[in-house]
Amino acid sequence: MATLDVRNLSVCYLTDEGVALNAADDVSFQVDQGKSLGIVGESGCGKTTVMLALLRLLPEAGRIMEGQVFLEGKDLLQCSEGEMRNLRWSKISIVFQGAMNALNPVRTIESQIVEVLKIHGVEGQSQRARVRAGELLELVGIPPERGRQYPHQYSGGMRQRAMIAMALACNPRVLIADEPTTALDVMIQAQILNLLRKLQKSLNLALIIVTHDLGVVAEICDDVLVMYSGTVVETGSGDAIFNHPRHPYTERLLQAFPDIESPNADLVSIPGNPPRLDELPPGCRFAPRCHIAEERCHIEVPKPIEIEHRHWCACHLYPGRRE
Amino acid sequence: MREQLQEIWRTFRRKPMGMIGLFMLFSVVFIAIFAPWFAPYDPGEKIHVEPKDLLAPPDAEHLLGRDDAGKDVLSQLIYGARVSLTVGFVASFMAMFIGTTVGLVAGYYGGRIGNALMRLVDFLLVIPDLPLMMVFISIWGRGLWKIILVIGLLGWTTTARLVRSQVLSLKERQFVLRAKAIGASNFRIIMRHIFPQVLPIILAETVLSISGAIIDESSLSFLGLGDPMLVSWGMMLNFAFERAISRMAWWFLLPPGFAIVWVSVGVVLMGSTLEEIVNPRLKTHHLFNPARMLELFKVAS
Repeated sequence: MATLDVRNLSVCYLTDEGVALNAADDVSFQVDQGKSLGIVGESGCGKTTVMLALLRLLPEAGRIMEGQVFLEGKDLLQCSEGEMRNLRWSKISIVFQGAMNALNPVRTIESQIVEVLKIHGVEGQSQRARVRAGELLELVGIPPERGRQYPHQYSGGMRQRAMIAMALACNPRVLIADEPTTALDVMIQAQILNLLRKLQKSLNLALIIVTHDLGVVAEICDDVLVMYSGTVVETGSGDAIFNHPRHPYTERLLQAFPDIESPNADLVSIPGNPPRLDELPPGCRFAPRCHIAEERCHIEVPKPIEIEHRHWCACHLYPGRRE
Repeated sequence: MREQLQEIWRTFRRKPMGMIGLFMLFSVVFIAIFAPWFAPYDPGEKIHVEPKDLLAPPDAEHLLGRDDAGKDVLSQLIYGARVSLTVGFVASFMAMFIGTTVGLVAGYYGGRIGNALMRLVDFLLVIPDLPLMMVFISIWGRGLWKIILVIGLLGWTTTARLVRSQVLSLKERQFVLRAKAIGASNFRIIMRHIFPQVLPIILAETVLSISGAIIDESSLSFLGLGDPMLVSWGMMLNFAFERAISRMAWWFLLPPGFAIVWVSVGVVLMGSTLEEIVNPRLKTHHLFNPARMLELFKVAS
């Protein structure tokens, strides 16, 4: 049984006019203990929405239409609000996109970590909780005495580390890192990624990394899930996705990314934009931008097919296509 | 939170207008607390008066002259500060407490509760305060605590609106989402994550509202609705207006008026300086503050 098992999750945003915009449709994936999953896709393709839905932290307009989210066999979507509050952070925690905004600017880093420990009763006693906070900071490479400082006194990379320390406070089973390296320079990105990989191995975490940076995914993820406009177009092992992409979107996405081994290769951009959520095409959502789309792509929604072991692709054209 | 208040004080100290306001307010607070030492006479004391003592002009023994009952005006003025300040402070703290609670709840929860509360605010805002207070006092009867209650219960509306507008923007910030993700309850998020951030603005607003409360009390007393057992500045004005003005006894009329102006100006100077400091738009980055830079180095090394 996978630690985190998401099945057929669909999320809608309701507009003021009462229209439901389908932001994530039929998303399924599994993550095992000690494994990492990378979720990639363009901005606005629903990556963060899916993550917030797992934690049931969607903004007010967001609704989970259907699906199940099993965390160690327990369906999170059926839990009461109180149960959910206990599970958050103790079982599943998240490092938010842009750590600079996710820390309370008027409280010290230490007090914010202590708060987590106290809410979940990991350390009830203030003195011991502070010691534990220091240990957590040390784990991510921040000198414990700097816990007395405020977020604005930290650099971007340190804030990201502090967020990771906070995320690990209650020994969660699943750690979600939402764009952990955005807004950091490459050196710091590498540090943060190394840190995440190290912690994932030593703490045996199930790690989900949400990003639009394929390099990050290639670096540390066992499995990759490619999203486009709220749907999963392809999932598989990192090796399968990077070396044998089957879905035309994955293919073009990889071509749009510079390759260190052939630096002179042309970067191909994908013409057009992702569809607006209120004007979704009736068939495959990628069809309007797809260079090989056929008639039925525009009419019929493709079902994901398992083309190899644990390599799924949602494309009508796959069976007839060769690389 | 403490750090924040210290920061405010550090900036406040360097603003002459604010310090003048602070001095003006605290000189009166000091005199009011130690009234028995400052007042040359006890206003409650029974005294023997001759007709020539009534409304006697100032002289060496009575620096501000005597009132229509032959009592020392200066002593009444000093004891009157106690009443006016008590009303000012207690009523504005009460208003701040209600306003903050309403603002936090309305802003954070929004929806039906928020709407209901804000409509109540609108309702109270459109009714002129003074006539409404007069109605309440005439129903409940006159008394110091009733006056405080009336001013407090009607004076929270602007605070509520101000706090609500801040909370509306704060609750969308990401650290609130993060706080939810760590499993914090709504109450905890409000108290630990949102309230500390609106505190400075509440502080400035409270200080500003003290003068409003003092003036309200004076108006009520001037109109004859004050506590009959206690002589506040407004009450003195009322007496002077009724009994002394026809005899040109300016020493009875002017001092309480000036006292009210003195405290109000002091409070407003202080409040607007505080507002200037805590207004987020006027805040500078810590790197532009040399003292903070040094401090950072100390902590880091």
